[in-house]
Amino acid sequence: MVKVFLIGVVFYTLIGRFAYAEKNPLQWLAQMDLAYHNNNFSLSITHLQRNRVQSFLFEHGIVDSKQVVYIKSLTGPISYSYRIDNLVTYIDPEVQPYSVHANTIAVPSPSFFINKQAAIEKNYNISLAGKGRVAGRVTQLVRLKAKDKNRFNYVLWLDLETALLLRYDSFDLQNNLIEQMQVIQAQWLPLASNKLTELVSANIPSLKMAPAGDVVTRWKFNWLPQDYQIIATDSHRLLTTTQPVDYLMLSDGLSEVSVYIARAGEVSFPERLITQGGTAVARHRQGSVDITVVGKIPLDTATKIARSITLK
Amino acid sequence: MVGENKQQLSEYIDDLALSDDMLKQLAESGELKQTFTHYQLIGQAMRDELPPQIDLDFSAKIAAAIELEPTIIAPKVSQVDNAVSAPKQAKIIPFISKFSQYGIAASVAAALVIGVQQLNIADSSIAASPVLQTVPMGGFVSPVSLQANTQSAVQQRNEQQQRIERRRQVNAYIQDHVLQQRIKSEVVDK
Repeated sequence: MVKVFLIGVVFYTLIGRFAYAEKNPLQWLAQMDLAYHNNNFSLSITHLQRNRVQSFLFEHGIVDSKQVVYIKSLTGPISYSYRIDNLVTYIDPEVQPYSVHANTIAVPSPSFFINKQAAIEKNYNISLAGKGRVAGRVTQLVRLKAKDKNRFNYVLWLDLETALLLRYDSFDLQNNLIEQMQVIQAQWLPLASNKLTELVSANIPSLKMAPAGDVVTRWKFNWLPQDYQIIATDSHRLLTTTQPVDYLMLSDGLSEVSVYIARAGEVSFPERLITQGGTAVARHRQGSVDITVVGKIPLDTATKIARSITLK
Repeated sequence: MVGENKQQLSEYIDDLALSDDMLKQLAESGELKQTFTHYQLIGQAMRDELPPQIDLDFSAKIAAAIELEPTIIAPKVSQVDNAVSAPKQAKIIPFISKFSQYGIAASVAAALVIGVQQLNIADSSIAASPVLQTVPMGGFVSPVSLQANTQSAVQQRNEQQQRIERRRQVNAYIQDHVLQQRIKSEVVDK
């Protein structure tokens, strides 16, 4: 009798544990956000593109109840960036440091999918896909499969214990790997690292950029992929060629696409290009203007966007 | 006192700032002047910049020459207010002017986008054309030595220039895209 009871207890606890560990995909994403926001950690990261590998040091922590992130490139020219709450500062060689109001640093990192759960849910089917191992830790794979053919697919590798994102792969529509961010060593810390504490107190002078103004434009799109919206507009000159352009930024909440309208020039590059990093560049000549669409989206989608723009 | 001054003097020679007080002292104190000359001399010797014949008392001669110059009394220009320099911190750059350039961020993206030099041309019609066709279709190989400035060579050069120009344009767009991703990202509330 006692034996049966004991077996029963053991069985019950096992089931209980199992049920506790089994989260649904959305719970995994929610916990990924929490794991990122609430912890102090230091990561070594590699970022792989078609034939280019870069590596970064990534640190995250809470200092004086401020969220601080620090990313330093470990290869090539020395450059780093950091975020203290909503102010991101970029420090690159031979350029004066500058700061931008933003809640994420535009560098591949475990923060890429943070705070984007709503956007992911809208446009992706989310499913669990087995276990894997990254940075010496067991991970849960979460697959993000786009609901249409206008965006790339992802596989996320979340630490089984904390749900921190330790790796993501992105694939194009033919299932070719486009890029991969992978943590190769992870260290959770009881307190924010010295570097982060230093950054908060250092107050490095930098140029502060005024936030982008309202969305005002004389252009409109007859077609945009589901959930893509115009999030910023302006007119400026391109950096190296100094060509004046009308500019629109589109976003589905996960990736950004740039649309440029410029007076048609004599030399025109091919209409369809894909760079080594998987960035599509589509160009379309419409009367006296050239429309150029740049972004990490399928090339066909970029072309369709370029063809759909007209004057209001 | 003089020891400390000497240190400051040395720093000045090493391109560090010199205070007004220090300048005044330097102008007045003969000993400091001498030290200054010596330090400069040492520096020049170390940099191997000394002329074959050294005139140790150059500054004294100049001073004497200036003494002999007739004094010109010029109207005193009222201090133009260019000493008021813009504060070094926290400049706000408004992006209001039409077609303005992102001055400071100009070379930002350059470092980032080194990797996009080579482009995969997705257009199959271009990619499909044979690259290593060395013998002309249905023809023969003509001697190379006399081809220096034939029309085809000029044409080739033009094509190459166009290719470079095209690449430059594509890169400009990709660089700008990277920059825009940095500066246009919204602040979404957590």
